Amino acid sequence: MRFRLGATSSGPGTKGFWGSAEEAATFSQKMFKTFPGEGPYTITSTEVSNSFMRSAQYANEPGIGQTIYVRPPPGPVKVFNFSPNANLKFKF
Amino acid sequence: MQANLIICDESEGTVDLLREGLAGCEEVTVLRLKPDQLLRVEGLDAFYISVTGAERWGAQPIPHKAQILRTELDDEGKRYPSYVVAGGLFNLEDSSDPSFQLKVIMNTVLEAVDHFNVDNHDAIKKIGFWTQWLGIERMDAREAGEIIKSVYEAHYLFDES
Repeated sequence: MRFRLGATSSGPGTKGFWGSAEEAATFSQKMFKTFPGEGPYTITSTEVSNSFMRSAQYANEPGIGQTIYVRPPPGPVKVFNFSPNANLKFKF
Repeated sequence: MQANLIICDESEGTVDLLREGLAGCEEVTVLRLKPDQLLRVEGLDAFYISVTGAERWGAQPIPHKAQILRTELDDEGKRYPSYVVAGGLFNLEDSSDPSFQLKVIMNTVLEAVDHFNVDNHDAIKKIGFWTQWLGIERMDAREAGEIIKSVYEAHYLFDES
């Protein structure tokens, strides 16, 4: 399962996902501070097949984690209410 | 044309250390501001953000490159600075040392701005950075200031020769 920030997704093109909700949350904190009027910053996840992931591009984004860039996934997207993990703490 | 850089952070201590590291480099200014306040600094032509943060403006995942993209009016008719500089993407096998990453980010941004300014009348003269998009929170801020100064001076010295 891969996670991303829903609010940054607009239009076609490559989309970045992270391997954990925690990394997506770290990114969301930075986005919230930079663009505070543009929330809510929901975190979404999706499940795709291994074959689909072979076309993905893997990279490292400093201070956040491993980012996986894919074309918009064809499968259903699950939207969480900001964080799928109730134990995650956010400081703004 | 030398671009002026504005680097912001909310912490007074970080701002002081950055200024120490940047001593003597007058083209780079450090301000104590929140990142959203940075976007409203008068005369700011562009601001830097990660590739993923600039997805909405069409940033592509290209490691070791910075891209300059035009921003658009938002739903309420407000506008960010005219351009966003998207960068800071690394290959998985690259070092995760924040000093190395900061050097690469600053170099690629200055190169991208040079190329942009050659081809465009609407030159980018002032660029804003928030320390956390540069990874400075993971390193000594004085060292970060020294790295930025060193990259900046080396870039424009080479550019003028």
